[in-house]
Amino acid sequence: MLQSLHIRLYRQFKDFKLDNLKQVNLIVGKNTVGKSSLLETIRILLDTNKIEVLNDILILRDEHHGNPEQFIRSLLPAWIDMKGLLELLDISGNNKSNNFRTLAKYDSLEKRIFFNKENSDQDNPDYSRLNDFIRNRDIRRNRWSYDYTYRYMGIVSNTYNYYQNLWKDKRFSGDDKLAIELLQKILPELEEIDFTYTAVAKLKGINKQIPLGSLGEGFKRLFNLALEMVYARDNVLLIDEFEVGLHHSIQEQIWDATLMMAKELNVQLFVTTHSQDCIYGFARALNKRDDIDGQAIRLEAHEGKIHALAMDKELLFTIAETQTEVR
Amino acid sequence: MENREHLLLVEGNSEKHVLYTICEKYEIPEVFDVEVAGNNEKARSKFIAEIAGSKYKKVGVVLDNELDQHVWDSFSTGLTRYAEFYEEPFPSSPLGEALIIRSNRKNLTYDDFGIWMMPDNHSKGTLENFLIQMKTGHDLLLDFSEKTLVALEEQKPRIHLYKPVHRNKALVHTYLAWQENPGSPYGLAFKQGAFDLNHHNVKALADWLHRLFADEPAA
Repeated sequence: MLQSLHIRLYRQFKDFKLDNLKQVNLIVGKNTVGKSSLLETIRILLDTNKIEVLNDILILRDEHHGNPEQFIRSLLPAWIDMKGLLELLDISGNNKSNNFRTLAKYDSLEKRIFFNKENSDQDNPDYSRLNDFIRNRDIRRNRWSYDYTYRYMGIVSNTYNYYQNLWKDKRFSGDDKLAIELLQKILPELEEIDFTYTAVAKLKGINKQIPLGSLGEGFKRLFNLALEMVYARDNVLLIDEFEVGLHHSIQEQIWDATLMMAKELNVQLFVTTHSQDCIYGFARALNKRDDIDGQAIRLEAHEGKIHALAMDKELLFTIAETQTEVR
Repeated sequence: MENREHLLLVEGNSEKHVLYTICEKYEIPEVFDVEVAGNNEKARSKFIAEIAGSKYKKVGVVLDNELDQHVWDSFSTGLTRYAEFYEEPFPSSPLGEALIIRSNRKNLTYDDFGIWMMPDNHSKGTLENFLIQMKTGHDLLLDFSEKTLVALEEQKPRIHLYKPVHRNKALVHTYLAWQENPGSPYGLAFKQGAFDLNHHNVKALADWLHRLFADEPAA
């Protein structure tokens, strides 16, 4: 489990620390304060394919540039003077099992980018690979072609076809009951998902199979959530904007199922949201469980610095009960 | 009137109207909303939540001092989670001065907060005890109100309906029933002279509001 995070000079973050990370971390705050950037730093920290993940981050943000300098500049705070700065990106975290420490350095003099893990070769330049990425559109488009050491759910849902391909890899076996249970929060009659041809759902008492595509965006989002939880077993799942496509009235139920899966599958969650109902739903679901700890973290910008304000389980419940605005 | 920068929480509507009257008299800047929580427990919960809440910066609460030590302890423990953001430690007992805790993160959500315990941050009591202290030269009227309640309570069989916890409320309303304008609500009765707005404890409350919300003592 990732226990702490220290970010220097990444987008909005000059020098930012998060201690006491919990198993479930809900990140709130105003637009542009850095919620998505925070998820990005965790990706950079946990990903073993450094260049691919930076590339992916820029594609998701529509920030991709044609040259290496612009590529890296996009990831740095706007006020940074590139010249003469040797160490620009520095994200480190304390991981109980692995003792992660990842450094990304940019050497402006030699135009080289280093992506090293502690104890590995500090001087291993990866610039040529970066160049390949920036110049090769085919590789750039192929976002999901490499293996994650964590899972990431962006704002745009993955297609059923994407998961159908994963299913064929037999990476879904054993845990499907948990996933079905989560999906039943939105579709109680659901009995089974069949991926043999097109993705279809079998419903209780109905003899006909229904294409998943006909069940709407909310179901698709939940389907993404359920399967990503399964794939994130014993690892980290990052979710940008939990509430996308989901009705406000079912947030608590979905959190019930999400927490159940996080516990059963030992998944650490980092989730952003703009939704008050999502926060309250999370707070109420969390309050029902003694076996999993969680918190909300609000990011606030003040005088050019990002502050993190943590709200513990008990406080979150009080916040939900008193309908207090905390976004 | 909604959506001011700061928030003052009170237990009930009576407190709200008394506070409005005091604010008017002492020209306290209108920089805070007043929210009625409903009761003491709800006011304490809402207070703890609103310190973390993003809608308001500073938060004040006016509570009846009816808390047992264990209730205060749990309230105080609820506040201790914020300790790293504040310059002073939280008091282990509700008795003493009106409380203002200054934040080391000004202008962030965890801004200053304050607690006023009715009637005077020292004695046990409620809004009614606060009001009874400020009777304006009507000592005889208040004494007679008190005697009337005693006489009422001696009636056998019992004819009064109020519970013992509400005795002070019965006393204040009895006192207000015999004013020049009988039966005015508390806030209005203040304005009509049934209570003394220049009483030192009213000044102390006004001063607390000024220092908390306007960062300066009352004029």
